[in-house]
Amino acid sequence: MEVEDEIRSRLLDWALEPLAAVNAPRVLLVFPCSRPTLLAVAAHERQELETSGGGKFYARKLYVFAVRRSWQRKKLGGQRLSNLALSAALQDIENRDGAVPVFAYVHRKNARSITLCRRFGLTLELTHPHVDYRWLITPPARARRTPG
Amino acid sequence: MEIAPWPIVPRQQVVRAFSPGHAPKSDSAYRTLKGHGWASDGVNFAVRSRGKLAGTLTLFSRLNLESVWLARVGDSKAAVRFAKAAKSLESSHAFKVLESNLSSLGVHDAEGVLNGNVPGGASSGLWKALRELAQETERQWSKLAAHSQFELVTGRVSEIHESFVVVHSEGSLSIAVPRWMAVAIRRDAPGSAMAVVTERLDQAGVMMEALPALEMEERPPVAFSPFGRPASPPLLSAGDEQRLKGRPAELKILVPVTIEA
Repeated sequence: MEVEDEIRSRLLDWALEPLAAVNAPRVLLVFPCSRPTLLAVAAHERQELETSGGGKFYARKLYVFAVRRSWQRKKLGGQRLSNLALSAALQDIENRDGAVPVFAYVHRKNARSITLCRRFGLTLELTHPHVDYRWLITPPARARRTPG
Repeated sequence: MEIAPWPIVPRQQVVRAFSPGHAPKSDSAYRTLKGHGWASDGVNFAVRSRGKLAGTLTLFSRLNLESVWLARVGDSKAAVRFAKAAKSLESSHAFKVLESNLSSLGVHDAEGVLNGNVPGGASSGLWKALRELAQETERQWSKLAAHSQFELVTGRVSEIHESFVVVHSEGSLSIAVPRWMAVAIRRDAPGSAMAVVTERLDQAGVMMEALPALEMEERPPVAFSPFGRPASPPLLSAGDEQRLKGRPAELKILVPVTIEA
């Protein structure tokens, strides 16, 4: 419900906020060709993370991701819509920033979103920022073994 | 001292400290403690609602916990010393001020305060009374010899994980506490003030208890929203930082999609 509220009331302001242009916010909207019905939304932006030693590095925050309730688990062009929309968001991130850590805050009771995030590689769990939210992020690449 | 253990406790907690893991069924256990001089009398006070008597509650100084712990491990003399200090605190001005602040609350809210939870919107007078009493309690406590078998650490919840929280002490010590213990005393949010008591049982055994604590100075609550833009970048804990070290992995794009700028 809070995601729906965010999309309806604040997403456009979030995306068009002039001072946030430096974060390169992006909103992807999925519509069917036949009618103007919004099926899915994915939004992301660059976000600085700070380390305890005062260091900073960039990641991409998956700001919102939502699929219209009546379209959840449904397919579009032979692909599940959630997979298609999230793939598009990640492809967009890769096109802009290359391989960067991608993270999302997910409500702890939102099991479906947690599963989706894990399917797309957000498998590392950071310290919870709040009792009700989980902080999921893509892990660093595994170090390759070099032959002895 | 930035954080102090909650200065008051209910009677059940005093009794439970003598028989950990057992829920007291009657007052006989408390009478036994009192009979030995290991617990104070506590202070009864009336809680009113709209001018009418709504119930009575009994407040005990938290020094009773120390007293009962010591009694349990056989240090009766030290236990009596702590119980006397508790009794003296319970007749102090700081206790009376707290009592008068609690009298104006409803039974439910007053019970909450007794258990370490001040209702939202409570008066600044109540917080001030709690802080003054906590300070006086710490002063008394520091005068009495502590038993090496028990260790009490105060700190703030710095990390929340699926099954445990990390309490970071003022002395830069980090302790992992099962999350259900933090939930039980309603201290499972980041920044919550908590006291952790550990009792060494043998060389490889320890008993742990989580107690509520309070900030000695007012601090703004930790706010979090998954939306919006934070005023400062999210801070990674040292452990998270370690786990994120290295080159980021290639993104896992399950369905090939063409995105144009």
